[in-house]
Amino acid sequence: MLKGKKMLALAFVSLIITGCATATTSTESKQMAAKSALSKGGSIDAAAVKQAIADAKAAQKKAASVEGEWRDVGKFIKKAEKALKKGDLDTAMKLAKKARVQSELGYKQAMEQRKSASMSLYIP
Amino acid sequence: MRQKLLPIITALAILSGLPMASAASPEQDLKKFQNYFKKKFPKVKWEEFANGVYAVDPIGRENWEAIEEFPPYEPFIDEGEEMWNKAFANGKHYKDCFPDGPAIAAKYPRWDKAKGMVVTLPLAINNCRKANGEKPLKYKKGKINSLLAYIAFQSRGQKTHVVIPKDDPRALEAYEKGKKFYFTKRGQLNFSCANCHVQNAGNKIRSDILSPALGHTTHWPTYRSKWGTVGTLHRRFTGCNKQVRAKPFKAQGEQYRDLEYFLTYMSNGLPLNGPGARK
Ligand code: HEC
Repeated sequence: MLKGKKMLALAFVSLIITGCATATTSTESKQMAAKSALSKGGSIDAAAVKQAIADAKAAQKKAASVEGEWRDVGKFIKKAEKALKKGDLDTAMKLAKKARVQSELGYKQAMEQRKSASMSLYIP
Repeated sequence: MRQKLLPIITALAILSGLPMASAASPEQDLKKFQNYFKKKFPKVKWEEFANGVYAVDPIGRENWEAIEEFPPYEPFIDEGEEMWNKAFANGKHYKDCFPDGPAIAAKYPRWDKAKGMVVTLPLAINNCRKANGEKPLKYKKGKINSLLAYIAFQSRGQKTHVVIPKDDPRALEAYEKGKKFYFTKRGQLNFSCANCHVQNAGNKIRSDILSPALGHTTHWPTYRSKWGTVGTLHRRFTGCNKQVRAKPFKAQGEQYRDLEYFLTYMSNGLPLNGPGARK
């Protein structure tokens, strides 16, 4: 039991180390754009959400192209689209961002693993 | 140019202390892999690895042995036998595609030179159906499992002996891809197959003891209590990808076929004992 928990904790830590630090740089400009949409009067406009969803889809496609897509990305995007339709822009924006960030992490993970994954790491 | 490059790359690899990616042959991999598990579980007899987690979990084994007295997969074997014997609409049978059948499980997965791909038993079954004008069966759930259960039962006692033919470099490539897949970390939880089934084989994760990778391919299809039915190996791959929050790949797509090729090769020498029953 402890072992499982420890493994999970380790997995998250290694994700943070390998993933999060640089994951956002590639889309910094888009994030800034999204942020500025947020800051204008404190609410998001639908165009910014649509852009965020389009960004998420592009990131998803890129991750899938290197076999690095994570499980829930597709679900987040669908939910974001639904929220947008209902006019719940905050929720839609949050989900779209989550989908994009996870896709970028998945891409990075896959590219890193292409280089480093090997049997001898496990069985010397 | 190429000849000059190789020593440079080798030197670089040595200097940087990196293992050369493709240095080991499948034969060397096989030895390393099987020895690892023999050493990790010195008390487990060789054939016992075909029983998965029940080779290393004495409590789970009690329960499993009781279940095996009235095997939950039996009705599926019977249904599979009917399928095997029933003529297609054109009057032909599975036997016309598989003259050595039904005990043919040990022939798969195999490298098909003409098609340039790994052909698994479920894929061969659907190729047969399509060639005879029948609709292909689904690859994870449903009827294909009954037919597979019948074939597996008839094939019991055959030994795993996957061949990676030397006369086609694409076969080795498929093997290498499957191997790479097995050791690649995936998903939000950042786990490779090997993190669980090599490194942590025998350890507990949540309420499960993790089975050793050695023996993972001997007993498909498998009746899982959790599924309440029999399912294919690729259905299991799907579940294991999902639990680390990676998007699973298509059943019988290239990734899983190559993975099956590698993983089954790693169990070469183990007896086939399908269909199986698992928690
Ligand atoms: C987070 C840990 C974990 C990871 C990673 C994982 N699995 Fe599993 N796997 C399990 C658990 C738990 C079970 C059920 C108990 C057992 O048999 O180990 C299981 C069962 C299996 C089985 C069935 C064993 C049997 O005897 O019927 C196969 C085959 C399998 N996994 C293959 C894989 C492959 C291939 C991968 C990589 C794509 C993988 N697993 C990744 C946890 C994991």
